[in-house]
Amino acid sequence: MTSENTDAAVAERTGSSAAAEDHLLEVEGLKVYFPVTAGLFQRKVADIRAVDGLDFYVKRGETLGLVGESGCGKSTTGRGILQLVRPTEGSVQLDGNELTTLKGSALRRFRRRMQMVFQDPYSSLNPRMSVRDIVSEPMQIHGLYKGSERRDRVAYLLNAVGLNPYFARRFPHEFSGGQRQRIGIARALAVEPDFIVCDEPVSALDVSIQAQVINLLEDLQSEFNLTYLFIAHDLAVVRHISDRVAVMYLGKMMELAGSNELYQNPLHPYTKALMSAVPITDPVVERSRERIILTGDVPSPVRPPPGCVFNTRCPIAIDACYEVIPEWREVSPEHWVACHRI
Amino acid sequence: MTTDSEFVKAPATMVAAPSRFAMPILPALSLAVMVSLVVVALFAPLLAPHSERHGQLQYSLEPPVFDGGTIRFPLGTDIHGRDQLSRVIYGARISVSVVLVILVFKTLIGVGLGLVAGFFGGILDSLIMSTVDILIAFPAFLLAILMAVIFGPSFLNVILIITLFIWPPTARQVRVEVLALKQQDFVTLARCAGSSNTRIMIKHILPGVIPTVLVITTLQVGTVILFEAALSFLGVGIPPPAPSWGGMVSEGRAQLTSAPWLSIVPGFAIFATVLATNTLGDWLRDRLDPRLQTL
Repeated sequence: MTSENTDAAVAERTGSSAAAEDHLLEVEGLKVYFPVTAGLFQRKVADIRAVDGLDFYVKRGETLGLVGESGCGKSTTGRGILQLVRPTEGSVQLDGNELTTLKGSALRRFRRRMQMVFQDPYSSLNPRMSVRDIVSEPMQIHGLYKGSERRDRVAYLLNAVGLNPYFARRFPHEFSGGQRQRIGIARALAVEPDFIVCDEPVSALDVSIQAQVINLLEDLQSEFNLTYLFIAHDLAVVRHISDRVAVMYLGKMMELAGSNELYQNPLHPYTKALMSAVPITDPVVERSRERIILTGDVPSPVRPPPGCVFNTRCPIAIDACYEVIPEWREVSPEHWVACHRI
Repeated sequence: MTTDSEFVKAPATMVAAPSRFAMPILPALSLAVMVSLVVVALFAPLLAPHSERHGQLQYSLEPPVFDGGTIRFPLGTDIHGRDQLSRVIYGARISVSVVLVILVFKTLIGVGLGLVAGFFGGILDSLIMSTVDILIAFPAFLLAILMAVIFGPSFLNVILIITLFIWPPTARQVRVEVLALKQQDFVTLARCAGSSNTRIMIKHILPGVIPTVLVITTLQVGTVILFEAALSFLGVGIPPPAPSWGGMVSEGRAQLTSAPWLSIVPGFAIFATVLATNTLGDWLRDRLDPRLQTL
């Protein structure tokens, strides 16, 4: 009875809010499966369900954080949105344009509007290209700026990410990790994108450098009116940079809420366990911190458990959790959760 | 400052690492041999004292200077009275041109197919790699002789036959490199920037395989020279009267006891060239890509 009511309410609210609010990215039912093949003839025997049905949106100008443990499908989600892996099912719309059906040169042209920053600043820059070539390549592909204008633009971009434009002549191996990450960001900005997927952009950096890069990303966001999908496993970093945070587990979203709401009032048992793992810098409070320690391991994404995927490790699971897949619903405005117990 | 100066002074045990291309004596000598071979090939008409094709029968089977001959024919003459030195000099021309043409062909084929196989995978990959496996597994020499007999000995046929058997190792190695390179984040980012497959292959992957190709190609110079020499020795290579080194060794066989220099002189030319290219190739391999130890 209540579920029907909430359903209707949710439909109404999302319908109206989509019109009222500006959603740059709309993801519906996104699934990315990878086939598992075996035997002499490489028959498909199963699927790795890396991403198994996601529904969310990203508002223009905001940062949506995406957290979860290794292998939960965070990065695959980012790549699925950017069509670097083609989704098995579902719809991805950027500014009302469906991406999953775009192909070939139409897709390549559209790539101008969405860029990516990677985790590993060592393998993400071609070691045989100078910084100028790296940063200007996207402009070259899309025919943006010509000749000396392009050189000026490279200098401008390097300046914008806090590098000396004089560095344009150098090669990636001459830079530190943080500097390389800045080069990667300059490259992503070169085509004036609306949307950037930051895939663990600071995980490989020293803590002091992390802060610099995070601040840079924030500054650039307001300067260029960017929208981020910020993928990370460091909860403190995500909280700092994100307006809203989504928690993933085994290819599904468990909870999504405004970052303060999520950190102060986590509803899902998995989110609660995650939050309790964050150390607190105040030693007095830290001593009284209660850790919720989950038992067991993450099940294989090839054979996820029936019902709620979290049921093997959930401290409060009931019978329904083993049978019925919990519905992804908005329990309070802007607070989504998938759990039978809430 | 004192700390600075302490820093600058390195302990006596620390030796400056040799620069990446500081060349030890052996590879340097090898390079010198190869360079002089090319120079000799280029300027053969100026360097050769006599005609390489037309002999003077009155001087038939003159011994070389080190065997009591005259300075007029420093390396002796063959049964037709042709000057051995001139023939070896012109032989360098044949070897160099055969090697150059074949290596250009095999690089184009090997790199092209290896790139396509590694990049696209799937059926194309299986097809190309099966061909490679078959060609590597085949007793190349027997088939080469058979083909040479069927199609007849000619410069073009020698080129085609040797190319057929020399491209597969390049394709295989390039494919492996491509498989590793295409997993790199910068390739994904290039796609993300809107690059087409062709652009990614040419701008991001091809430059990464060049060192490997360079090493394989240098090492194959010796193989090609030996292959051509062997075909010519068996009479199915470069047809006479062109002075191919392999053919000269073969022609000298009849007088091996009475005039051993006829086979020894061109044989030494083959030996020196192959040794030089292999030494240089080994050195390049160690410098550029230690992973290629098995080649």
